[in-house]
Amino acid sequence: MRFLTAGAGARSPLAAPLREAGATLQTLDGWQVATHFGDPALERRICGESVGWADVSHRRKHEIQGDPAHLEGARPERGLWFRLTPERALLLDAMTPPEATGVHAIDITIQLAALSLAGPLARDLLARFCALDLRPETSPPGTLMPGSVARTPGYVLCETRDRYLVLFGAAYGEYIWTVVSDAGAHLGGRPVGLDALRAGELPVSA
Amino acid sequence: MSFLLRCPNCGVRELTDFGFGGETSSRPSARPQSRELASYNYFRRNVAGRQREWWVHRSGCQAWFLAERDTRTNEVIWTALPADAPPVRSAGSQEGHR
Repeated sequence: MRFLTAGAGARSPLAAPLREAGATLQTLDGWQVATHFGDPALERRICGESVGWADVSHRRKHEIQGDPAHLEGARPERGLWFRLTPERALLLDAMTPPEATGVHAIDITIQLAALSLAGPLARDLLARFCALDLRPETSPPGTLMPGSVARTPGYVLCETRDRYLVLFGAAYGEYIWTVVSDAGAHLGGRPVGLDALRAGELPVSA
Repeated sequence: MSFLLRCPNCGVRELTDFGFGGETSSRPSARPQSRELASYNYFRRNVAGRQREWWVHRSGCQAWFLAERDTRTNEVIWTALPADAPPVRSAGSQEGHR
């Protein structure tokens, strides 16, 4: 169940640059999120023609740690599950962490900020600040790539052919926003809100 | 210096993703003598040739792993998690601990 209200909520690590960019903020699932930047129709068009980037730091993230023999058994039915190492996994979009013997779940939602890059030029935008090999033949939808994002530790998830989720340390939020904005402006892109992304309708498979 | 390295967990990445942990070495005994401890802390074999060494995928999975690299050419022969590393072949290349 999702609640969309005008009340106060947890602030994204990107709250300051979002406000500077003219975002309209609303509270979703207890988080302040940018729903649009004044022109939702233009933002939808940008996502269809070039590239838009949206703050999705509110998406729930858990790190699951445990004995390799027990870890795969803790995989929940809901959420996106990615094995990082034999002892660690990343769980996205699960409201509650798995409870299983021999594993521990840590909610890292506030530790990792997240940007969604959407549009036909999303991969071109990523290529300007990230050296990960994101060609469709090596990184099909559903692939999570841990690696350097603008020279900071992060993850890139290919959600669909034209949509990528970038996870990075919350403390780097404003820096990454600046990097993406500078690189995206040359491609005709701009920040977009959740309305343009139509959040929650992504056909992601892990 | 620039080359690619294969993280055992994440796959091939550029070198700047990684941190170098130095050549492997053997831990001293539980109560080492000063000379033994100094040797462990400060002395390196520094071979010109194939060397087994530690790396960490700093920008990715943050796991420590072992690699065998030719220090003359930077050719990386293999990388592996410590549990999966091939046995040490020569007396001059010892399994290490971190």
